[in-house]
Amino acid sequence: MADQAASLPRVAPVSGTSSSAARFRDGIVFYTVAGLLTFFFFFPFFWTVSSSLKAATEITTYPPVFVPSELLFHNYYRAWTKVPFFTSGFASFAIPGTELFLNVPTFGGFYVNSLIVTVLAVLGQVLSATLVAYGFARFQFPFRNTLFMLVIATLIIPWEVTIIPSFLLYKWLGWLDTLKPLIVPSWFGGSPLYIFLLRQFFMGIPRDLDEAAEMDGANSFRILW
Amino acid sequence: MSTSSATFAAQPARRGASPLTRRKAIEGYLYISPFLLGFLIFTAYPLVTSLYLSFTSYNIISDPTWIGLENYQRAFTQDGQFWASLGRTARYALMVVPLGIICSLLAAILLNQGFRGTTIFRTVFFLPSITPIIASVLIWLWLLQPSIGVVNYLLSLVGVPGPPWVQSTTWAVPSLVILSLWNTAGGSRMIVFLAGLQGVPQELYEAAHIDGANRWQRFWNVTVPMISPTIFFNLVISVIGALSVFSVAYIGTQGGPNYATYFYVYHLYISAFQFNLMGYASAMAWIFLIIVLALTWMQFWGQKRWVFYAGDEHDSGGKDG
Repeated sequence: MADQAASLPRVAPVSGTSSSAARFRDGIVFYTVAGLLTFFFFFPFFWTVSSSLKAATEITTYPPVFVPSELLFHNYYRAWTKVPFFTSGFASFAIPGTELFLNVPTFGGFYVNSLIVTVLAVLGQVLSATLVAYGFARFQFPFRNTLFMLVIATLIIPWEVTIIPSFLLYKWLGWLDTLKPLIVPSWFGGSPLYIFLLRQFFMGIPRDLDEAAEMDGANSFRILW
Repeated sequence: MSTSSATFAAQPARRGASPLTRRKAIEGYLYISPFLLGFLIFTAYPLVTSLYLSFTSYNIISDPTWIGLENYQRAFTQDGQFWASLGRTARYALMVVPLGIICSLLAAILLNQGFRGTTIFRTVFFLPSITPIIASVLIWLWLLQPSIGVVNYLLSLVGVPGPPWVQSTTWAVPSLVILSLWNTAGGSRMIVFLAGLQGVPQELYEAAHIDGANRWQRFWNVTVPMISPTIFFNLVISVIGALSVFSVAYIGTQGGPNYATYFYVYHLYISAFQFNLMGYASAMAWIFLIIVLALTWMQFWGQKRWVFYAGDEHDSGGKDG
């Protein structure tokens, strides 16, 4: 989504016909409104960063302190060491021949969980959605349009409706308290929105390219690749 | 966008077709098989199961027992929170959907004027929508804290006594509306509007200008009709999103104070996972699905009256599916 926001083309002025005085007046309105919106959207971020550098006493003072009197970067060190971000604890190994133990941080913790889920889910999402979208965009088969409507229809089914049986399904599969429910569905086409977007994208690629490749003996998977 | 698919559909793959088309059809099915499997396992199966469960009494531990329509009866006639939570959700949606659409459209129009700094503003507006929901809720609870919160402090500077926000039954829902606006106004909804605005042909504005239309008239008579498919798309998605409101109530207010933010889906969640009333919650889920489908259908039916598709070659917004 962030890429989407960043990659939109730059916009041309809407009315090239207005005079420079009018343009100046518009500019004042634009920067006033945009400034107010920026304050609304950005202030919570500023507040979070500012508070993250405050001493505990400054957090709850009234009137609120906007710029901390002392910048305590130490807070980040404490957060990092207090919570299992990258390590899930320590494993002790006895060093043979001695009375000593070696404490090795074990790999795990919050970020590792997030990392595993993100990498595997995104990978599955991209691969499977691409295959499915390619199938919808480039092949003729019975019920194609009906099945594509099904893809769109799944967009409007609220997740609340399927949450209980999904929970039971995961329970039956023994997936509760594992990361699997967060990963595995992504490998089966994942979000219908991506299938939809990718299909639109494939349909924008000229078919001549496919046909040329086919003449050269490439199979459909190679064409996709 | 359906034009190109229509062209290809002109050579249909019928029974008894040539081996090549049949092979192609099989290949096509192979490509979409991940979706088909996933749909069957993770959507169709749970959907059908929840329909079955909605006619049963089921607490996870013992097997479901068939009780017919009792769950539905209970929802409509005995459970006071059913209608109450539905009403609250409707009120929330009535606030958040129009405001959200107006704010996103306003922001998109602003960013479409081509002033210097547009890229920076666009990034800032977009930032909240990629903030994890938990973080957004926690920050806003803090900002809206009635006695020491920053929002009420800023209000006091301009002489307005700040309301008690999430701690009062009157202001809890508006607080969540503000939170939702912060979270979504500059997000994908704004981006979709921006794409729609950029698809409006410049000539139309120039023609309207020459005809003496002022800015307001140009907005109502050129912009709004031309981006109406985009408005429609955003409306459908926003209504579904607003009715499904859950996370903010779950993380932020736990349905309180005094049930002020006890929304429908939260009621469903509590029934299922706190009281283990899986059958009853399934019935609630199906009622919800029917409500959502009905509202979506009504919007599709109503779009004929106000949504303008600029002929066959239209691709403005391009989200009409």
